Amino acid sequence: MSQEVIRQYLLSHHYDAWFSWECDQLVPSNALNQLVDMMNAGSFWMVNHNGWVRGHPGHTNTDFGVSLIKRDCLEQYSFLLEYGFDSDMPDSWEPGEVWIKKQVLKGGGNALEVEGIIKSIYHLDK
Amino acid sequence: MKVLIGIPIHQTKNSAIKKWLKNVSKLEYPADFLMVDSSSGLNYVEKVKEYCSKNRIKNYQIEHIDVHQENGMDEMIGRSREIIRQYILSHNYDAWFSWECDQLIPANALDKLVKMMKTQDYTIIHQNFGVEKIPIEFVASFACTLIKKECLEKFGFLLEYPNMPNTWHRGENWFKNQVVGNGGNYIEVYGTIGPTTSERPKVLIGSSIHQIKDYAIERWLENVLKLQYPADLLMVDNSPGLTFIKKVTAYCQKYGLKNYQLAHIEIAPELC
Repeated sequence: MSQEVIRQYLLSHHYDAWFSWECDQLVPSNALNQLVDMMNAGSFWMVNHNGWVRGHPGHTNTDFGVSLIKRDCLEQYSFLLEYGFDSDMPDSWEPGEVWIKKQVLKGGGNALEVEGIIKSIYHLDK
Repeated sequence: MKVLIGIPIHQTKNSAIKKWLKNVSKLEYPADFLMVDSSSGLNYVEKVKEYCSKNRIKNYQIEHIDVHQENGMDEMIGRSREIIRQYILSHNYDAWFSWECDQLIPANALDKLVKMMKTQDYTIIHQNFGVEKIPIEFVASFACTLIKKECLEKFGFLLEYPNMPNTWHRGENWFKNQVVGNGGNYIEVYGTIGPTTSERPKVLIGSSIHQIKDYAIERWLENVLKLQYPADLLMVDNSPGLTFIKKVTAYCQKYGLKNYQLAHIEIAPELC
């Protein structure tokens, strides 16, 4: 639901992209510049920088912890289950990010999944 | 009108330059093209040549100058502009199209500037796109500007020339003032050429917050403050009640965070 609030705010305030950044992840000061450069380099709709699951450094985290998402994605897809006019919309909040990624790809968009480019991302545990 | 598109380039603008060269290849007005690179070493020149080849740009020249990188961008631009100026004077161009390498413009932009220049015999025409992120704010740049040869015969860009300011900063302001002060004229236009796209997207940092992350939020806000890229911040709190949002407001004040918005949504406990 919070992501939907962010989405609506972004659309109504004419932002070009959403930097989705979880509030327990620390990134280097040039992290957003790097994401923007990556997005521009291939006109990507989405750049997801994978990190690691809190407390489990060997386990890759593929959610929107540190991701840059183009406005175009947010114009087409939302986060509310109530918008489930697509028959594939999950009936649970849990896999929302995966669902959005799939929709973007299915709709002709593209996404970049990277790991280890932004050095380093710390996922705080305590 | 014989026009030279003369552009200072630097490796720090690489991601913009790739797109910008595509834009150059689509420009309708027939003009020659000179880039002056002031990057460290010669590697970037080779890279730009590859980009030109990919975009089938053949009618171009690229020069390189060595400038001590720590002297800053203003000196690099000033010295590059002087090379462009000398090239224009020695090759009998009628005008210089100054165009920043991170600005994308419509294919007919230069045609429009040339037409405008001819209508009233203007000396300089500057299409003002405004400051990045603040389009209504005036900016005295050469980002998309057509400049007649006559100006360049009278005034240069090197500080070594007489009557120059003692700083490389705001060279465009000085140049324009000289032109106008010596009987030239200058027109500033808004909205005639458009739309333009700057390479830097306007970004919103949007983050869900919750009191269970209280252990991390102070360090995270400090991290937000250090981010180099200019972006607004929206935090959406979904903790029960308003206690946490007050706490976060206090943290923001403590760290001097200004450019932020806080929102709260109340979610029924059975849904959490």
